[in-house]
Amino acid sequence: MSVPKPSAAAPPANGDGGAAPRRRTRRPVPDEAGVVGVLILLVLGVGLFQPDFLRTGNLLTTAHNSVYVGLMALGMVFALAMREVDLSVGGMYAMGVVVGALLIRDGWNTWLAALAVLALSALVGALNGAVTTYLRLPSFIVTLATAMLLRGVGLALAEGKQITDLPQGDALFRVLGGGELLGVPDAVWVFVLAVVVLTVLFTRTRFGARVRAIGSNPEAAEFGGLPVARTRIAALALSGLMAGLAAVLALAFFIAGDPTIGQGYELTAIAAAIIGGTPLKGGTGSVLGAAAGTLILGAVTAALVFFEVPINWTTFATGGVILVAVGAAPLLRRVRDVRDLRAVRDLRSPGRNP
Amino acid sequence: MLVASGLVKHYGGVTALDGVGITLDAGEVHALVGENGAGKSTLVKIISGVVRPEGGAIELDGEPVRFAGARQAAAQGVAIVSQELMTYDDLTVLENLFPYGAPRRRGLVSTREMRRLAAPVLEELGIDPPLHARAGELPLADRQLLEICRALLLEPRVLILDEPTSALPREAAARLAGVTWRLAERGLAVLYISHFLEEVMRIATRVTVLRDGRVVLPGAGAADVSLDSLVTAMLGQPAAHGAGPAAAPGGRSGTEPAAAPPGRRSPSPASRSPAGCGTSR
Ligand SMILES: Nc1ncnc2c1ncn2[C@@H]1O[C@H](COP(=O)(O)OP(=O)(O)O)[C@@H](O)[C@H]1O
Ligand SMILES: [Mg+2]
Repeated sequence: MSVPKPSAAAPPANGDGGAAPRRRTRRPVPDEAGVVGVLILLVLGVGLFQPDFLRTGNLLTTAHNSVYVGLMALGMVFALAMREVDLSVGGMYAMGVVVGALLIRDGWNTWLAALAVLALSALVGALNGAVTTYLRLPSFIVTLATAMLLRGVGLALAEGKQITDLPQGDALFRVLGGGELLGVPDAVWVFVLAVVVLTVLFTRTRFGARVRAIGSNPEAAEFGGLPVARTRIAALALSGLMAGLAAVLALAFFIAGDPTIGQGYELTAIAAAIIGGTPLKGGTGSVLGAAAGTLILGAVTAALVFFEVPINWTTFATGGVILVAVGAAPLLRRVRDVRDLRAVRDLRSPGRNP
Repeated sequence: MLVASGLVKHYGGVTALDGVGITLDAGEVHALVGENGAGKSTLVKIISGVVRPEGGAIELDGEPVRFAGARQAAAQGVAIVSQELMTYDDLTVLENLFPYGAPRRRGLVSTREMRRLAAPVLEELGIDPPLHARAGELPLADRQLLEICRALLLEPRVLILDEPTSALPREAAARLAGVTWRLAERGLAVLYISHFLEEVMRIATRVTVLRDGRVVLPGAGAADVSLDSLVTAMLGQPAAHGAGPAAAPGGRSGTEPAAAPPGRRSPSPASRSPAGCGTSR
């Protein structure tokens, strides 16, 4: 070995050869490609047997039905990506619907009531994060408890009944509930907008990078001084906020506050996120994938109706789909990883292609 | 520039550090050597603030400091690369380089800006990883260099490297040595921890030896100590005996001639060896 001299940084022997043309830094194939592809194939496949399934009206209705749990799935991506989970979104959703309905019945301006629901759900989500942090409990336990607390609050406030007699003609109900833009329900546009905004938040902001970093290597995040507690609180607040947004849209659509709404939505949201490529072990995730995952589940539910599967079997079938989808996702990803890995290796050692 | 003194730390019944001190001057590569378990990493953790000492003090530019963690240390110009790999394997290579907040444009993280900032440092370290690949896809050696790159991007005045070459192939280690030299030339204080003595002899201007939580050779000029005396200091006895758990380091360090290679320079200030410890023969 020779003495290292400042100028001695000769090109190393292991690839990157100095003479080789500078290679392009290539972005890998996005994780979402697979799920979105499956969604499209699924829709087209069902359409092959049931052409009516492909009617715009049906597709939009299916999408509209998926919006509520879909919004929760988008928020869930942030929780899962940092190795947390939010089981309280279903309860949050029910409570939001009830609180919003009560406020409106008490004469609040509807938009103000909607804002109050959003603020409340974000706050309760933040509390989930704070309790998780300061009691040093897993968010699984904390949000399992708050799920019941919130649903209980909703049931108690509504006295177990639907809250109706709301001002049907109000602008909130007309716009967010029944409104359309370019033939697409406003609620679907809200969902699309949420996908875009949260995708940017997840992939292109410091907050998103912190969420993924903490989920990827909590010890390093701790050592490196990343604000783990603050990020966890923010991520769970975001998850709560998305459930609150779903509540506002549901309230606007149904024009009623049903305290029993959204049973089990938290699990569907988690399943959708996982199908969409957000692993429970955190570190990574995909907002768009979660949206596609939700739509896959929604499309299956809708398809079962077309195939006249008895309604009592739909839950069973949905379970089967989740199992298949979650089982297939890693396979898809493995294929992609192998390809990526090969590409990386080829770049490193141009001479040693297998 | 950075002075630690009288540091004491016990883990349960184990004495990790027993009154350890070290001085890092601008422009020097100060090697810290010692067997596994000697307390080297504990010293680093105390400097970074991750571990709280039971006694002792740390001064930066004459001011007492107590960092709350690696991030605060970095904010004050002390960058630390810990022995454990601290990469975020799910994040991209670029994202890994800016863990405390990537450069932004209009509120969003700017890939172009990250690339622009990272390019010269990556080049200096002699690596050219695929910047958008997940860090976990890189070989271990590149991940280790990635962390060093991350530390350099903090533009520190003090750089602490805890066993940075443990996973590096020879030529990468040699390149790192070159980088270390250049940094010292620019006036950085570098603390370089290793148990590859041969490597240490090559790049250090001063050497401190730790054994069982005590300094047995404080900051001796590297030119004044021989490989044999280092081994003796590390083991507490001449290497030949090899009794106890200690035989390995001598063997691992190889038996290359210990004399300072001809190209060695002494970055200013001239290496001084603090009094005592007649270990150099
Ligand atoms: N977190 C810990 N808990 C208990 N003992 C520890 C811990 N960290 C280090 N030690 C002990 O402290 C001593 C010094 O360890 P360390 O500083 O890691 O040594 P080195 O880096 O020189 O190999 C060892 O005996 C080790 O077992
Ligand atoms: Mg160590």
